[in-house]
Amino acid sequence: MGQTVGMGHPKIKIDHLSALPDEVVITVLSLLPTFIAARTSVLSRRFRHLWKASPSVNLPFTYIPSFKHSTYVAMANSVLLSRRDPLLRLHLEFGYLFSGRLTESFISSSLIHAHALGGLRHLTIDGNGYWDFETVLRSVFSCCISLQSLSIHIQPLKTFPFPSAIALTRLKSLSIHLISYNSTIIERLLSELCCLEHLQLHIFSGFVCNSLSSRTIKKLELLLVDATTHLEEPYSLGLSMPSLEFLCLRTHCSFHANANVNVPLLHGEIPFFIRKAVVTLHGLRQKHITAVAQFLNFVSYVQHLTLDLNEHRWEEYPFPVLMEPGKEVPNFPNLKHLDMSLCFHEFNFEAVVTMLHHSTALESLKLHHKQLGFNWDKG
Amino acid sequence: MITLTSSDGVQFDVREAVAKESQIIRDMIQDDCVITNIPLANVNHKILSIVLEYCQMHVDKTEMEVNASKHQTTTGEGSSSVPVALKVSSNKNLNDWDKEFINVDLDTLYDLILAANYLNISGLLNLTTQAAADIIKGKTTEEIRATFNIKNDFTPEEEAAIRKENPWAFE
Repeated sequence: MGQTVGMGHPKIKIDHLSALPDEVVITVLSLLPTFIAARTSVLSRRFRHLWKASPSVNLPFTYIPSFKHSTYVAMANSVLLSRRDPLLRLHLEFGYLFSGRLTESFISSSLIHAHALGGLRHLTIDGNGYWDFETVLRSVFSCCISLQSLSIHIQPLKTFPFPSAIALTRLKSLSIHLISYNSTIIERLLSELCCLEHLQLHIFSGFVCNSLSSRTIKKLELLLVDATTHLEEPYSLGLSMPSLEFLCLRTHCSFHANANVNVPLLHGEIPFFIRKAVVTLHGLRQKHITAVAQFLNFVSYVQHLTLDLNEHRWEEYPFPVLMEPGKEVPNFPNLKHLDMSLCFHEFNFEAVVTMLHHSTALESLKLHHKQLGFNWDKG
Repeated sequence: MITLTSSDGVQFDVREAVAKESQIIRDMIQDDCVITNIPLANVNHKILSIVLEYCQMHVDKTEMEVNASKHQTTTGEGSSSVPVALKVSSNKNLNDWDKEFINVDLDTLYDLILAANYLNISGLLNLTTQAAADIIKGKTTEEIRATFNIKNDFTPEEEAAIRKENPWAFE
């Protein structure tokens, strides 16, 4: 099959990929999972060693179903141990299968080796399994002083000792799971990270957090992970982030429409410099109205607001999602751009009209009606 | 306004902000603030117009957001020979726009990567190299060779030996 473009072809096509400068080919290869990048070593002499110069190592375990544990270890060892160049980005990804099979010490030693190569800036660890990863965290925090971004998505089995933030003085971006038993640790960590600008929290419901405070965070994403059925009551989340410019609150779950969502009640110091807010919530029930209203109040100084709300279409439907009965619709003195996707049934429609009435600076408006699926644009 | 001249002599008048999406142009303007005409020896007019379409779109989008915070600025309309058909789609999400924009044939993609690299437009370079990576991603080595017309200059023995070095890549 590779012969279709062979010698006898009348028109000689140019081999574009090979003609690109080395540094560009390396950039392309750095965007691939490492085992795919490594395949390019047999394409031609031109590609023989290029993949090894990639500043990224990306080792997914889940990529192909037939992947074996031993293969993963062989891959990680061969990629990290044979490497001499500094490593900028490391992404380790383990599936469910992995639990208990790859040892913590294996991961720890991979991390330490990656760090020893020098210059590690971006580290991502994704593990679907529930496991004990204390040692791993220790190695992350003890060895990665150069880190600028860190993303750890593993659900720990028990409380673990988060080290102090002193090791992560350069960290600008952090993405992590927030669970009730690590909330106090994270609260402390946040107050100590002195350069942090971007925080992404995967929040499991049923948890109370008095105050997440940071003077430096500009961008905050709250991703609501599938709630368990018995934790349905809204819970409280305090925020104190005076530099906040962007806030996103989003349902983050596998089954969208009727997911068992739970929404935190945001409270705290209202960010004055906020420019943009995005709220995308699915499976809303009547009991969530207060949380939606509190979110809208919290972001009342925004200039750009994107709302995408889906009610749970069960017995309660229709009900107003934007307006709390008996309370004022939020006021948006600075709002210039509003994108709204929701079902404009009578209750919501009234709230939308009031909200528009209160948004005196509005320049552009986009409304998308959910139920019938037609668009309605207005300049 | 800045005039950019393509390698085949076609002139494009663009706003300074649009031209400044390119790091090398930004540097040139900084070094010589009265410069108004910049010849680009490595980009022909066909590719330059596509590149400028990208820059224009991204500048417009950012300005829209920034304008939200500042007073109305006078946008330099009537600008250029740059295709301004974008105005229509300017309401669309920028990511969606990028996705549509990068849906080009391999020859154009190759030229765009080179232009983005030469002009040092980081957003466009990210977009184009990602597109190239996506093309490689789902393919076997044979398919990659066929797609990009790469001539295999290894002997079968050599190739087998390389496969053995990293067997995990070929499982």
